[in-house]
Amino acid sequence: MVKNMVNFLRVLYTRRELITEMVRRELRDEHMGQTIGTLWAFGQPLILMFIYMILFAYVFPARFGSQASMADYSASVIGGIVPWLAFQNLLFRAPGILKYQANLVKQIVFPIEILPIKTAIASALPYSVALAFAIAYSVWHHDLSWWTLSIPWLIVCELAAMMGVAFLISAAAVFLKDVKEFVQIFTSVNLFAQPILFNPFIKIKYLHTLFYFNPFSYQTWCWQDALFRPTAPHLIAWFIYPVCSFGVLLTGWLVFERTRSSFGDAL
Amino acid sequence: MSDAPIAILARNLSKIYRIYKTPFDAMKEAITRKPRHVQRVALNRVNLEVRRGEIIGIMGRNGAGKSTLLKLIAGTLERTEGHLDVRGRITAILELGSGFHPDYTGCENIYMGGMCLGMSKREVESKVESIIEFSELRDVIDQPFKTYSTGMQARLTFSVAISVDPDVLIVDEALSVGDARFQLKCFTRLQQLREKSTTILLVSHDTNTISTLCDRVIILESGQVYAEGNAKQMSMAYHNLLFGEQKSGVDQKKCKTQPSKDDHVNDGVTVDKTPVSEPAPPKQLPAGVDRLLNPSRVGPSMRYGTGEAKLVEWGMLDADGQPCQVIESGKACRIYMVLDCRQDIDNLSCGFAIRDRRGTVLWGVTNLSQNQPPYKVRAGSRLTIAADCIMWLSGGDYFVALGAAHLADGEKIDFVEDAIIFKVIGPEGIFTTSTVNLQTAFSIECKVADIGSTAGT
Repeated sequence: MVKNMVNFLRVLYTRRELITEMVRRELRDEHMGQTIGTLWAFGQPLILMFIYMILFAYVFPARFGSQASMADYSASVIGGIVPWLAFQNLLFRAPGILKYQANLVKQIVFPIEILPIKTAIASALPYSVALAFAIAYSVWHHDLSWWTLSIPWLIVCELAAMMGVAFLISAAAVFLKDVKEFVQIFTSVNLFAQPILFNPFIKIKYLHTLFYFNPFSYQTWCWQDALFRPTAPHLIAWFIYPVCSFGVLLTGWLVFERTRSSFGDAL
Repeated sequence: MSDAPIAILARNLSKIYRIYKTPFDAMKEAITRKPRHVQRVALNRVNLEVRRGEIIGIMGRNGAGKSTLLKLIAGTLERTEGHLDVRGRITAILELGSGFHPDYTGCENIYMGGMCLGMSKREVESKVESIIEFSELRDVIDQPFKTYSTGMQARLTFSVAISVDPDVLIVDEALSVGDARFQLKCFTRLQQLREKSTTILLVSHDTNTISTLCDRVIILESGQVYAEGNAKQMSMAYHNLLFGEQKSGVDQKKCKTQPSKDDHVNDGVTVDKTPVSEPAPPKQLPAGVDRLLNPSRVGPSMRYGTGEAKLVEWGMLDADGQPCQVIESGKACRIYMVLDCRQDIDNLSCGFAIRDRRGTVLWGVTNLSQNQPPYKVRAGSRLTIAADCIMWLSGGDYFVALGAAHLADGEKIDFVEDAIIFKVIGPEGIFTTSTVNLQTAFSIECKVADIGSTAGT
């Protein structure tokens, strides 16, 4: 297990130049030929943030009337939605990682483990702007706390989880054509299966039980704790989230390494 | 060369493609390691030993397993069985422009391509000038890759690939796309790489390319090593394989279904399936023995054909009608053969070809190339076919292949390689490496006015 982790870190280090270059390429490729190009990649999350802010700070409270229980929870929504959108971005791309780059996998001597890694980074990177927005928003709302200092650690955990999932899904998609559809349905359902859009001041019991079964909830709780001053921090999440993240990374890496010899045949 | 360290060593290398009913089976198998597939043998117990600094040509028909072998060596496919050891940094050009993005400019693709092939950014930076220089694409290097012609794409791909300074370079057909001048440049570059003891594996269908470049050639057939030897002999063997045994298509199919049968690989190259004379006795060799590394065992000539007619005599005559094996450049000569027909043949095509040491065809003639109609003969007739020529070849040893074939499908009736071996005594005063005698008159004229007055006298 340690050996595998070391192998992974070695790839990350020795190929850092290629990874950087490929991340840049992926972000540019997507918006190739558009007038403002790469700005879209960073601008779109930002616009989304504005919409969420307006919806949850002004529109919804106004509709339901200003009861005490309907206090402004927009900071909680924004804190929770940033990591999920980044993850969702990856989930959409992951099935195509190896499939659409078959020429790299089959034709040249290429370190294919780079592909999921760079896609994970390229999916997360545009949300750095959104994260900055979330931090600014929480400053504005006086929601900052000591927990905010944990953000770099949370970024590491999230990237680890994303890379792990990228390894798993990209490898699975080589063999299973329906992974893409499955992932699409999963992402649209999963937005509601974690405590992002729900008012943290109202606890609905059956929903809360569901949250505890969804590993993504722990990610949301950690980020919400960091960005939205917690009245009661989810201590258990701070333990489960890193364990799950690195567990997924390790599993993904193992599965990828184990199946990679069959990629050439299956593609 | 034989004491150079080994770069590639393959023993009993096999690749069996697995064909799955559903892709889900493939995944299940990959994880559980329980077989759920039908097998197709692409490469069957191939032995290969390549030393550093060798250029090896790999030939074979479509589907013979060439690409599979290269991909195994390059590491993009996993071997099924056997032992494979490849030492050093490998660069493979298995397909044109792989890793190259059509929307990016040539220059950006040099960076990306170079990094994909394992160079660091700084390494690419230091080489980018020489890459552009070599590709001769300086004028268009900032235009998108997709606007390049196939030949230009090939040039860029190739330029990047050889800039890596690989220990093992694998080139799959990529050379055939460039124009002749660029090909020549590539050849020179490959030779230079060889001197730096780079091992080069080259796949081509072009016997001229192969014989110009390669030290050694391997012919694959049905996933096995069919023959191995020097370039000239193998060019002929390949020709033989392609045209000489069309009747034996059935045998080959058999061979595919029973891949373990080893009798397909004969001792050396004399692989007559329908021998006219001197059938080479197929010899069963114990597996794994180095039968491959003995080009000297290849017979001096090969003969094949259906036997409907048989060549009974052939030779070369000088201007006086005397048989000769040595001829002076510029003198008249006659190449002839006598064909005994045993059956009626409706569309006979017959002729001669002269090859040089490397197997390059320098000259050839048939009744068809002479714009004569296909010849009709009855059983029992005896034909004397002759070509009267003036020997404009320059000094050297040459080999005549001659024979008769059916016009319709090119099926050989009787065909003899290296039937006549003759020596030309070259014209004086030209390079000894010349191939042709251009009957040269060489002169230097000097026209400087008043050379005396400038000297001041």
